[in-house]
Order: sequence, then structure tokens, then C-alpha cells
Amino acid sequence: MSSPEQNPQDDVSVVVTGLGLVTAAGAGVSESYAMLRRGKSALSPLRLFDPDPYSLEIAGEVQTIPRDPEEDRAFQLLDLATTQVMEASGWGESQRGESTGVVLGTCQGAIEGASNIHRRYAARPIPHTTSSDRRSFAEYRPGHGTARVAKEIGATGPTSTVGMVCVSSSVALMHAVDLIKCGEARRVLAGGFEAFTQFVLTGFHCIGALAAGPLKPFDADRDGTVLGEGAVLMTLEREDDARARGATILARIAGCGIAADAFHMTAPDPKGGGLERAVRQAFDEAGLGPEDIDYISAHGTGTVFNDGMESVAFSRIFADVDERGRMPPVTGVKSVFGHTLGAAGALDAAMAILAMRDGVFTPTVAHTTPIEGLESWDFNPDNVRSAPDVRCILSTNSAFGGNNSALIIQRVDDA
Amino acid sequence: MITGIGVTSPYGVGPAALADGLSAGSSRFAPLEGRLGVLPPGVGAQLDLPRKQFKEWFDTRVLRLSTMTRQTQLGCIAAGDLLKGMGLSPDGSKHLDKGAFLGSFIVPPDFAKQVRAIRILSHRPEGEDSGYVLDDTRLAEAMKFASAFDFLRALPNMPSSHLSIQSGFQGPACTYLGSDASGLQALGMAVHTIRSGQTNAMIAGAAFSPFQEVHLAWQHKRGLWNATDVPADERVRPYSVRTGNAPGEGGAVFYLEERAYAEARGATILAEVTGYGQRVLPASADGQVEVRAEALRAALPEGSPDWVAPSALGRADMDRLDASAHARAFGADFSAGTVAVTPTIGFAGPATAPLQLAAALLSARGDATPVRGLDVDADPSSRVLADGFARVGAVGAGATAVTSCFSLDGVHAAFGVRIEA
Repeated sequence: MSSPEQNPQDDVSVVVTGLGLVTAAGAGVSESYAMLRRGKSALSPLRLFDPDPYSLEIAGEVQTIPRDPEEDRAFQLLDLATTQVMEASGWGESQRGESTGVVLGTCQGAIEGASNIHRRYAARPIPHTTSSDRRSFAEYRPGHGTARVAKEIGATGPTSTVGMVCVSSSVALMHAVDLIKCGEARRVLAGGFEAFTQFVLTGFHCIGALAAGPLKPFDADRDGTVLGEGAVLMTLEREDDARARGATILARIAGCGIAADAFHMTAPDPKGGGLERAVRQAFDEAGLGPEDIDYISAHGTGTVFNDGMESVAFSRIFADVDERGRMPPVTGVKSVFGHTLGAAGALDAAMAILAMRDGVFTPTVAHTTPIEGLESWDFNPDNVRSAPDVRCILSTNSAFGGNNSALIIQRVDDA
Repeated sequence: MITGIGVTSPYGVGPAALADGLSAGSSRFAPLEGRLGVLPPGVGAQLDLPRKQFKEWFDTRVLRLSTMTRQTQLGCIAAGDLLKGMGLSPDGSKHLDKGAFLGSFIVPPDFAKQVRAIRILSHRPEGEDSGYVLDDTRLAEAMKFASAFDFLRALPNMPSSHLSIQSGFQGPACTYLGSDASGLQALGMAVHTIRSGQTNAMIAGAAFSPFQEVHLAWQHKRGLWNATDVPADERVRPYSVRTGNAPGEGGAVFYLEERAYAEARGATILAEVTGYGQRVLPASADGQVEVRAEALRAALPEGSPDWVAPSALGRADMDRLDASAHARAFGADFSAGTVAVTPTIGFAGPATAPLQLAAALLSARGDATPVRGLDVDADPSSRVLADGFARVGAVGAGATAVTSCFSLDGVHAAFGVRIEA
């Protein structure tokens, strides 16, 4: 709750104290992170339905979790991640109530259930409502995922559901930080979720954004993205609260930036203007600059337009440090997990946090030949390598419609 | 500070059309045509606006109609009207310090077309209880329905993305999907964004059109519509014994600015934001009244409002919750005038609360004199709000108004303003 008398608390530090992950690599933080560290891809031939009409070879389907006919896939993944993050964070009775919020991002929410409803209700007369329909009617709204998690963890504070396609979950993390800094909440569970569905696959097929083979971030031969599914959640809280309860602090969210291209409905600003503004806004908030970044976790969808735009933006932002031969390594994880859309931003950030915790650079799997002009950049294509001095990571995402986000993630040394 | 209002409603484009319609009390419900007409409730309130007129509010060469759902169009018309009214019509310039937040819903009208394509493609194997397979021999047929534009239109961030392109606002843009509460959530987050110094100004609000077969069917199954034989213009009477609503469409967006920034540019400050409150509680849980009351109190931390614009959903349980929460928040002597757009222009999902805010603000300013007398057949349990339909609140500088809403997700949100000019 806010009133004009409450001022933003800029000095409030917000930290990450727990992670929950479900990805194509499996249900669990260690499964996903281990796959990335090994430099292996979790993408595999699609089992959900016949991929031939889409000329699809692989996808980031969570095959270790069987589909539950009684539950929408999106919520199935979300519930698993919720259980994990609550165990990891140590949140309990003291963290329930109105000082706890939930902010989630998604692209299409429970669209699978919605599709089933549309199949049935396109008929005339309107069919008799079944119990399954009633549940689907109630649950297919994207906001239901947020409400479901709030109920599960006993949160009655501020909530919101962000529908910003590929930047959904990174914007959700930013809103969570804002809510904590403004004093609206002491802690927020935030992240994103997305299920692999025919609806989304058909859409990406129609717009010609799918790769014929592997997803190749920042590669000269990249030809599109590979879709994935997953749920990624984080517990964010005030650093003083986390320390007081003796929580494990994984990282600090030191800066956030969000900016629109205001350029074109489908094409990104080729100059990367929106992304550059988002990054500079995050720098300003963190009180840091390009020279402080040790590692860039890029969106890296493998599409010609996105990776090209990101490259241009990074070239400008890091021009000075690049000239001095100190361009930070650039990595992307989508070649391992697929593009998880509404969960992508939180997944990128989660992997960056774990890599920083362990003092490593994770590899950019399937990257072989850099985009022309970027030959000097370090995309770390091969194996995980030691990087004990990593203290500050920039994680970026961009979306259709020209939306861009940037997070500055910082190591907390004495945590 | 609120320095501008943009509205699209079944009364027309602009806040003046809304004010005139509310003052006249004229119903905009009419029988729905075609396949929509055979669905309950059979009537709805729509904005009759030829597409060729859209260019009055936005550049259709830049914002292609093929990439816009009806709700996106309504939002962009409202925003275009707002900017035009403020003398800020887009001239191609970009604004780094301004952003756009919009509440919406994920079921656009063209969604059915996309799903039709998937339905053609997929079928369940004989003898199987679950699972679908694709039949690639049907791909060509299916793709007649599915197109790139259909998919792009259906992306949830399109409403706010269009708005940022339309206005040249390069600050934060975000679409919220919190069902019926997402309009007030967008406004609340916009206030936070300005207070935290990220922007100097924001366009925020919501737009929605429910006129899509499956959506109407869903709301019918939810028990929202009044499908009785009562004449359309008398069907929707929130806080009365007549239960049920009827669908409407529209959008309301507000120009929010930091006070010093607004004063420096010589803007007319219409109202100050007194507060915003939001809480969540599962619909089945106890304590709904208290939670709703807390949200209302956060929206107006001091005093009692002169005008209230509650959810006006017309469902007995929700109406009673509304009434009890207002009494809990503002005391036994609560005596505000009640404003409701739903009796005449229907329920427009997430756009309803911003339209209610616009109606309350216009009433408190004296721009609208909402017709009184909607307190017929009052539900005794909802009297505190029903009686407000017979009252006229204070008007002019210092008058206060509180808008609130509830979503099926269990979100209770409220937004308060105090009139300045």
C-alpha cells in the first residue's frame, strides 16, 4: 500500500535468496545448471506432437515431467518451481501475509486450457459445462498463475502478472525490486512460466522465427530460435531481512532498466537504442558502468534480427572497454534450454547468478562462428571456465513490440 | 498528478462524450448481431466507429490495423484522444522520460481464428484418452486461418507496445494481465514508476473488448450476464436485487505526471493521486471485506470520499462485498455519491475500473452530473452503495473520489484522487 507520504527507499538493497527451476534439463536447479556447465544441450526431438509440419527437429520440452491430463501444463511447471523455491529460500510462516507479494511474467499463460475451451465452445449450441470446463474457465486467465502461487505461499500483499512476451519475467523481477524498494512489500516471489503449446509453436512458425536445426546464439550461421518451456522463480527480499534470518544470499539485484524502442511492431530498432537505454538505466541505478561488468548474459535468441540488434547495442555500450581490450564475455543459454518466452528472462538471470556464485563462465553452446565484426568478442563457445573474480553480471532481454530489459546482478561477498 | 484523460466508450470518443452520456443516463445497450446474438445475454454496448476514422487518433501507416486487436485499437484511440486533448499530438519526436502501462486481457477477438487453425491441424487419435497429433495433410488448410498477423495480434504485450510507438514514449512499457484488476494495477505501477524517478510522465489505464464468442460464453458460465427478459436498458442495476451485467467495450487512459514536472510545463492539474492499494486473497478465503477495506483505505488514507466508483459488477455476492468494505473503510457515516458506468455501457473487463475512475473524476470535477435514481430495487445488504445512487457528492477543488475493483484472481485494488482544478 502506498500514499504520497511514503517515499521510495533508494538505499534498500534487494537480494535473491532462493531459486526454483524447471527446464528441459529437468525439474531442479542442479539439473539445469549442471547441463549448462557440461556444455550440453537439453533440446531434443519433440514428443508432444508430430513436429513434421513445422520442419522442427528439436525443442526444449520438459520431457522428464509427464503431462498431467488433469492439469494445465503451465501450472504443472509453475507448481514444481514454487515448491522448489520455497524449500530453497527457507520462507515459512514468518514470510506469509500482506508484506509478501507475487509478481510473475508469462507470454501465454494457460493457453493450452484455453485452446481446449475454444475447441469445445466454438460449437453450437454451447455444450453443457463439465467440471473440467469450469476449472479451465476459471484458470486460463494468466493472472491465475500469480494468484495460485500467492495462495500456495500465503502471500496477500501486492501481486501483478506481466504479459511482455520475452521480457515478461525480467520485468517481473524488476517490478518485484520496485515493490520492495518502495516499501510496498518486504519480500516478493517473482519470475515467469511458459508451457510448450501448439498455439505458440504455430505462431512462431507463421512468423518464420524458428530455426531449421540447433539454436546458435550470436553465430554467423544462425537462422532462428528453438522454443522451450519452463518455470523459473526467485525469492527476493530486503538484504537486512535476509541477513536477520540467516538466509543464504545468492546475489543482489543492483540495478534494473526497462525501455521501449517505440520503433516498429515486429522489428527491433536496428541500432539497439531501446536496449542501450535499458542498460544505461540499470547502470545508473546500480551506480556502475560498463567497466564494472564482468560478464554479459545476453538474450541471444539465435534469430538474425535479435542477435544482430543486441550486438550493435553492446558494441555501443561497451565501446570504450572494448577498445581497451576489456570487452566482457558474452554468453547465451537458449541453445541449452530453448527460448522459454515468459520464463526466459528469469532463466537467464538464474543461470548467471549460479555461475557467479561458482566463479565460472558458462559456455554458449552451439556457437561456432561469431557474427562478422565480432571476432574479437569472447562468446566462450567451448567449455565452462574458471572466473573467480566475477562480481557483476549484466543480463538483458528483448521482445517483439520493441521492449527491452536489463538487470545488473552483483555478488554479495560476505553473504 | 493526473493532467489528462482519454476515453473510448460506447458513448463515443473523449471524456466529454462519457460525461454527457452519464449525465443523460442514456443506455447504449443494443441487440448483438450474428453469432454473438445467439449467446447470452444477447445485448451489448459497443462503440460504433468506422475504421476510416481511426486515423484521427493515430497514424494508421505506422500502427497497422492488421497488427491490432479491437482492444488495442480502443486503447490507441483513447491515447490519441488524450494526447490530442493535451496538445501533445505525436509529431514523430521521442520521449525518453515517458512510458506506457496498460491493463489488458489475453483473449483478443482474433484468438478464435488462430485456434481454429490449430483445431484443423490437430486431432485426438482414435482410442486414446488424451493427447493430440497433427495431421500435416491439413497444414495448407489450417494456414489459411493462421497468419503471422494473427499471432502478433494475440501477443499480450501488443497493447502497450502500440501505445509506446504511437506516442513515441521510450521509457518503460508494460501490459498487465491481472484480469479485471489489471487496469488499476497498471495505474498503480505507473504511479510507482514516477515516484521512483524512473519517468516524469506515464500514460496508464486499460482497454478491452469482450465481443468474442468464447469470451462471452465464458462470462456467461461465470454467471456474469443478466439474460432475463428485462428490457436491456434496465437490466444492469448493481447493488439491487436485479443480478447480472451485460458486456460493454472501451478504454480509459490517464496522463500521470510528477507535480513539479507538470507545473514546470504549465500543465493543468486535474487531480492529485491520493493513493493506491492492492491486496490479494483467494476468493474462497475468509477476510475479503477486511482486505478490500485496506485497499480502499490505502487509496484514500484520510477522510471520507465524496464520490465512489466501485466495481458495480451486479453480482449479489460481489456487490455485498463492495458495500461492506466501503462501510468498513470509510465509517458508518459514509455518504458519498456512487458512480457506475455499467448500468448504461456495460462491463468491459479490465477497462471497467479505469472507465469508472474517469466517470468519478469527471463527476467530482463537475464535468458530469451522473443521472440519479439508479437505486431502484436496492439490495438491503448493499444499501450503503445503492443509496449513493441518489446522492450527489461534493464537486470542485478538494473533492475526492475512490475507484475500486475485484478480479476473479482474488486481487482487490483501489485508486484515489483529489480534484485540483
